[in-house]
Amino acid sequence: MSTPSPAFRARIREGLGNAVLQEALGRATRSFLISRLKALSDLPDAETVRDRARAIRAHTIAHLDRYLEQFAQEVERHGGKVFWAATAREACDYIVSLARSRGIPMVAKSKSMVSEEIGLNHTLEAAGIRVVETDLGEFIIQLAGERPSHIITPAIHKRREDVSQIFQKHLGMPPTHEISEMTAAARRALRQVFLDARMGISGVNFGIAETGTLVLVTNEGNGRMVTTLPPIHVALMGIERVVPTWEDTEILLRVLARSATGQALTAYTSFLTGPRRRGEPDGPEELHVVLVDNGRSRWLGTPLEEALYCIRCGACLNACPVYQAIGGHAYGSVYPGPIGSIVTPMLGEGNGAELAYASSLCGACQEVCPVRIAIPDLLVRWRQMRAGSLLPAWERLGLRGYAWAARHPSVWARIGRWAMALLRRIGREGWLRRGPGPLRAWTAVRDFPVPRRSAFRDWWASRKGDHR
Amino acid sequence: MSHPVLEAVRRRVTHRQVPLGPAPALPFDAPPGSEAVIQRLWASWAEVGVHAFRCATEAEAIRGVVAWLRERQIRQVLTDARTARSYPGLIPALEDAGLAVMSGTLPREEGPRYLGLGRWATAEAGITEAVAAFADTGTIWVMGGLGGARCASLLPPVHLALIRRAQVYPCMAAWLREARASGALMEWVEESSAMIAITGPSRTSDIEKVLTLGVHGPKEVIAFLIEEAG
Ligand code: SF4
Repeated sequence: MSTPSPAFRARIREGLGNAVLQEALGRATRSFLISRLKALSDLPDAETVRDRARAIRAHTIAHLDRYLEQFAQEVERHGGKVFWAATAREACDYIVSLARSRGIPMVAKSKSMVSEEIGLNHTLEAAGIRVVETDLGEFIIQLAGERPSHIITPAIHKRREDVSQIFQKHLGMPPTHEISEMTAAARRALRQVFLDARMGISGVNFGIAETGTLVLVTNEGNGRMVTTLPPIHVALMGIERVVPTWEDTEILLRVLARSATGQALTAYTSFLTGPRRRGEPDGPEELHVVLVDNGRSRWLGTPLEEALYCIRCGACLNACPVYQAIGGHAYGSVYPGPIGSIVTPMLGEGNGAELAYASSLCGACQEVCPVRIAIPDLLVRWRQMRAGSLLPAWERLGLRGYAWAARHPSVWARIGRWAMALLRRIGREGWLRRGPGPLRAWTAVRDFPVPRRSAFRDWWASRKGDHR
Repeated sequence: MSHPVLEAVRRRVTHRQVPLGPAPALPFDAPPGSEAVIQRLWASWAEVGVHAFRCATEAEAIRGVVAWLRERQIRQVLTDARTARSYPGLIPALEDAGLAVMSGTLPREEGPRYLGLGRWATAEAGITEAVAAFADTGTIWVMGGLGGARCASLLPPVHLALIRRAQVYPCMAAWLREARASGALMEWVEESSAMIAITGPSRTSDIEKVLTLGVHGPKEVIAFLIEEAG
């Protein structure tokens, strides 16, 4: 039976056993889901908007060559520099050598999933360049030396007492339980970082092909700071993030924040085209756009290309019962949750196919996805691909036996009665927590209810008396 | 243009036709500057936490700005040449009231640039014009371009924005439609490295999901809506 690795199992157990995490996750995911529902019900024609959003993403991915080329040309026409990175390594090397060549000791970063995907912080720090995360949640996590647990609110597993401790220790903040005071302490510390940094690194939500415009969506304003104050702005962008036109972008913006946080729009949506122009009083003197492939192009033209439609709103995480229970850390990947389980093995070295099992395939994710990605189908595809290569001979034999028994009702009924008797003998208090032989792997991550007294078909027969 | 990444994409894309389907309705539709649009803007502003004043004339708005700053005992403000062009009376009025006004341009060389930024960062309020406002979301649309400073709506703890009634659109899609048709969209893109949609003050809920304002950007956004045309 194909099951999670021991490390993955340990992380799952840790997540399930962490009461603070459970409560915080429950609170956060519930409130996001409620806000999302309200925001979408306030949006006229929401279902047509979602259909259009999906069509825009599908069209863009089907013609990605054309739009990527146009985007890159437009960035350069407006004075930006484009670097194509085939791998995580190439992207990191480019940024490190850029920082080194300018003698930059510290960079200010706003949230970028791609930077985590390529391990940028680690590479920069190994090169002796300090990296400061400026999104409040990421900043807390970075000071604590941990990893984000949610893509929208990365420090969701930290209570205010924890944050207070961390800030007292690292920022010299006086003891307090007031969240506003903690936020003010972070503002002071990070304001100096923004002013001092000679390089700002950001992610990109959308790249508009027709004008080479980068679209960044933030609430705190740190995204505006790192793209405005430092003389060099480096934008990291996955190659799938392009969108043909401004009008298309507006459609995607209609659903992005509503699906993510339940806001109609986030506090700041920046549309950045090239570096500071002649006549502009401020803005970065240089703009570098790093276009990251890192495995994405491999999946074009395959059924999994649909995963590239994702606009990273995080709604599928909030809706996922497995995510709600185990939290983002348990996935052990940069992209957690249902879409993360699909995307993670598509990128880089292609590790993490086991994540496809961290789902009950209930379909809640597809229900909420603003671009209607068929997430459960894609998860099943991964399971099939993994199973095709990994299924041991005895399991394939077992499945053939199962198929035969299922076609022979009397055999099926006899096996059923025999299995129930066995389960009742080895189960405890109505649950089977540790199965024998091949069942052990399955029950390692699931508890199986011990069957009631009789099988449905026997009960049915005894009531109706006309069982054929 | 050629690069291995682009070549890999070219080899694999399907180029299949994807029907776009019907265009969705505008999120909100009413003529720009109409009373319906103003009402909706007002409601959206209340929701996202923008304080707003209605002023009959440009002169009244400028007096309102000065009075507001005085009441807060603010002494240093940051604004820009773009705003001064659209509202020529603004800087003289601020200076008459004894306020120190910073505008102008950051030098491009690193050292002087850094010093200039440090000075701007001491401003207690920033004042900018808005190029448009979007009623459905309560968004204030500000631009870089000739004389347009990104920092004026970003660095200080308070952002005061001046908007004319005729600039209020029902939604961003309506503004885009008009700006595309008139060619203004492409002019903006050519001139301006930054176009920013501001929807309320800087906010975070990163600690225990408790909403806190002003974590990095302004904690307060104050809008002055001017009835008369420019
Ligand atoms: S898969 Fe859909 S719901 Fe999940 S993050 Fe991506 S766009 Fe959002």
